[in-house]
Amino acid sequence: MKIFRPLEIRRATELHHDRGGIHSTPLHVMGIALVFVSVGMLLSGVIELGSTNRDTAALFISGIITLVLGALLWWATRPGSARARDVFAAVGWTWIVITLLGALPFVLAGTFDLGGTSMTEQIVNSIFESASGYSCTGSTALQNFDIPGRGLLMYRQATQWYGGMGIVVLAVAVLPFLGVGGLDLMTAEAPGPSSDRLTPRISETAKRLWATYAVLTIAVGIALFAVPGPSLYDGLAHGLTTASTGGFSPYSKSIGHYDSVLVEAVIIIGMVIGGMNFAHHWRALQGRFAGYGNDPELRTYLVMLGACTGLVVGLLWLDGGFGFGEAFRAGIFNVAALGTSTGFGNATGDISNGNFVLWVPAAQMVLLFLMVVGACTGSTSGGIKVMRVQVLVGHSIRSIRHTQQPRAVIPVRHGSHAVSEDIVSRMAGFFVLYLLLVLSGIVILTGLGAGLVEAIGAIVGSLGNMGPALGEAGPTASFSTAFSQPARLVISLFMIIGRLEIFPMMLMFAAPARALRDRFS
Amino acid sequence: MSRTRLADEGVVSLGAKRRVDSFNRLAIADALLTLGVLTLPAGIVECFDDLSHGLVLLIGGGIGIGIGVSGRRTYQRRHRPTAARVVGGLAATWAVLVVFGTGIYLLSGVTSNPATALFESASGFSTTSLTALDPTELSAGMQLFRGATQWVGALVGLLAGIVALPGVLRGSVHVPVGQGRRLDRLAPGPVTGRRRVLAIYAGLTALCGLAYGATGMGLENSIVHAMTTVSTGGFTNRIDSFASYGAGPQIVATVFMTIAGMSYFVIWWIIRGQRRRFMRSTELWLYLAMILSATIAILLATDGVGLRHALFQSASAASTTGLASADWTVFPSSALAVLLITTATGAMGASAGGGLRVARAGALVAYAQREMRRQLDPHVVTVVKREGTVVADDELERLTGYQIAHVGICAIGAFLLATTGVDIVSSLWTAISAVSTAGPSPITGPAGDATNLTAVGRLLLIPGMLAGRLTILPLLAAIVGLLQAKDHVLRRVKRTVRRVR
Repeated sequence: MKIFRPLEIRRATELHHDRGGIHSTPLHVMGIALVFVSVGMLLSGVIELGSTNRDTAALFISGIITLVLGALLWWATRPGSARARDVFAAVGWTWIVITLLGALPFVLAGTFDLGGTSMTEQIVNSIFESASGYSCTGSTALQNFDIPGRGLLMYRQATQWYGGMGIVVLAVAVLPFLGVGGLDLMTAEAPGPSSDRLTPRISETAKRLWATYAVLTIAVGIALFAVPGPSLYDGLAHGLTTASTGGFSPYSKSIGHYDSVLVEAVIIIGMVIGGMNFAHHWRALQGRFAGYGNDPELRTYLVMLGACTGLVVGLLWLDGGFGFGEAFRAGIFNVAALGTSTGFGNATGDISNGNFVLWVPAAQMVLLFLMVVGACTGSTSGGIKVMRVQVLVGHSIRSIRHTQQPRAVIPVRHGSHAVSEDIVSRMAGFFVLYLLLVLSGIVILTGLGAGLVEAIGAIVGSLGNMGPALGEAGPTASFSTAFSQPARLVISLFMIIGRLEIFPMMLMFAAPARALRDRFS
Repeated sequence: MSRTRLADEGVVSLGAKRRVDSFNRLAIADALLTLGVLTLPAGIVECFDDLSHGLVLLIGGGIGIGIGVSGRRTYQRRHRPTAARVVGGLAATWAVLVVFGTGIYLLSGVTSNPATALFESASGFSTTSLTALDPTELSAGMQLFRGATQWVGALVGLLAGIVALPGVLRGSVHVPVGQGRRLDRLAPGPVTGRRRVLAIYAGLTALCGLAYGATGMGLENSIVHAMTTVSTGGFTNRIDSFASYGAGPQIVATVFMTIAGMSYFVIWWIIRGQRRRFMRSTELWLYLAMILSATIAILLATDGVGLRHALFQSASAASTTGLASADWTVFPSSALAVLLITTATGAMGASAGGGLRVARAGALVAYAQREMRRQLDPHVVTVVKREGTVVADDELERLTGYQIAHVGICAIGAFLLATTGVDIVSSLWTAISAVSTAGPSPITGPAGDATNLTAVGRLLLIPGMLAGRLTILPLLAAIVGLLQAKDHVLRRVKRTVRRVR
């Protein structure tokens, strides 16, 4: 057995990568991701073929185009450097291209053609739907749910499932020979400030996360199938978007379609579990449950959901003209749906208890708060994340205490651990950027003709990957009627920015800019 | 060092026997003395309208002067006050002023409702232009007193920001920069600083009053509006704010609102003829650019609104004055969004205006840019500068902490308002506007009519308004103090329980 010395190992690695082709991490990652996405399209095509058979051609053609493009990119490129700018470019551009190609099935199937709808409108709506799907937002531009076939609707659900755990994470899981900063790629895509390593090998960690994710999806699907109402198709469709905290449903009334307490209970449990750190779920599947009890973020998350439920139920019951039972049912479901950034709705009609835009303002304000905060790090949910909020509140209190005791050394604590100043600084930077994005987004949307409340709801909702917004873009409304075409494109961009937690999308131009500068200098 | 110089530094005081070193006492005494001096003429004017009301104002003014003079006589500075004492003292000053004003409103019979009187007083001293009274029904004397509350409130804020806090929070982001070399300083010592700030403030007020008078506004109106414009208060004596005044008063108001939102350091440089420093002030250019951008945005978004009204509204929002020359609540949502962001950003540091302050907003944007660079290269060394001076890393961190608290206070305020039935946009707007000490919002209308809010809603706004007047520090310090006290009590209870066991 030959023993390699470090230099030889490096040369061997270089040889492995130096098989010809263009060295580009972004293009290589993009190619792999497109291949995975094409699998979803082709499988959905099979479902369409076996059911309604309306959009089969659209799904197969889109799948083949995406597969060929992905395979070409994969084949023609080799992983390049794993510097930060390349990682951000890889993740950012991959998501942009996936969103655009993900819109192809909707465009080819004419999903948004209501008779006389312009091609531009159809393309914009398709991009919006794709962005909403892959970013797990759950906002929809669909007005008529009878147009798409069951396969295309399943593809729509699958986009959220892909986006929930992350396509790049999937690439890292399945392809350990990617050979470049797997951890960096995963951290850039995964929700939360850092990735929780379950094993020393990052590809193993990614595999375990995806396995846990699949188990939760199947569990929710089976549970839904077991209760009266949903079919196997419905169970699978909602399982995909519950575990991913996405919120798409094949029905226009979302979960309100079933008008069933049992279905809502299963969905609530699924959403709350989807909003927890998946590393804890993996350990629980191994029989180690201590992680749940020892996590201060999880405790706060559950307390927050409980308190907000109590508050909303109380407000609806005492001030909103609801009976206690109605208030409890509407309150707990919508708090769970928005507190986990899922965005399912249980409204059975435009004027029903579940339509939260008709609730008293204070209850809506609680939901807006939940839309900003989101759920736990390491989960599939969106929002700022509970852990960040905990650290930022501690940081804020420390800053005020410093004005009284300027020389005091006060660490920011998360649970019993002191948080490093570097992480506090990064989180504060994230919050400031988040705030700047919200403000600029509101100005842009209102400039494009949106009302103030709709703009606030849409920007906060899209950055937090929630789904429904406020005002005319509530849980029973379609975004295609509430916002203009350019506004929908802006919201689509904000959805991806929110899904990737700001930095990759803001810095994705750094690598191409550097490459251009190097070439011309 | 001469005894006079020492006295000027506040180290010794001349001719004292039994004196106490208490910052609380000094701040409260000065504030009441000024208010008392301003209340006396209001009382004299009121006597011509209603003798009993006039007597209340005269007695109130007398009491204010009495307490102020005795407080000053029994104060002697021996040690430099700590930051906690200064922040606590400022909070106490505002509390005393608000109680004093409430008493005057109740005793003079302007209102018999203590909640309304409290709100009006808090709104006045915090220089917020929300009002629960019908300004057209107020007599001339009461108009003067109401204007005086805003004038004194802004003066206390200016003295705190320029004289008191820089002495104890050196290098902090809460302290405005740009003092310059010692010889050129606006506030080389507490006494000189107080005198200079008061002179500039009074001078600006006089100039503004004269300008209003020149436009034919009338003596009483000129005085009242000069006080409420230069203080960025925004109280008026008309139901439509400035809309029914002509172009002349509106142009004067625009100019003086803009000046009132400028840093007093910048004004000091102008007075001293330091044109170069004035031209190199980044914060000043940002402030002016913000007003200009908001004006352009309003002009582009709104049909039928002229440059005068757009500029007026922009200057009013940026300086957080809260005056209105047109019903801006009917503007398109994009213009409203721009106005809201301008109000939240607020005026320059060391000015009479409120809000987050332009310098801090600029530093936060620079901080965000730095964090983005750090994402690309964690080891990169980048510095953030404020007026040419490098801001220390820990100060930037504190700024972000402060910003989070600012957002938190607005969010809590908005939620509490929403519980009273106010819609989401109005709740958010009113809370942000109150914390920025601007006042008006879509629900209160351009003139800041707070009777559109419930009584509970008005009371809920008071802490936000007062917190906003001094960049929320005293309120937050009080909250943190309470949290610490709670922790302390809990620890003691636990210890006692353990001992008993």
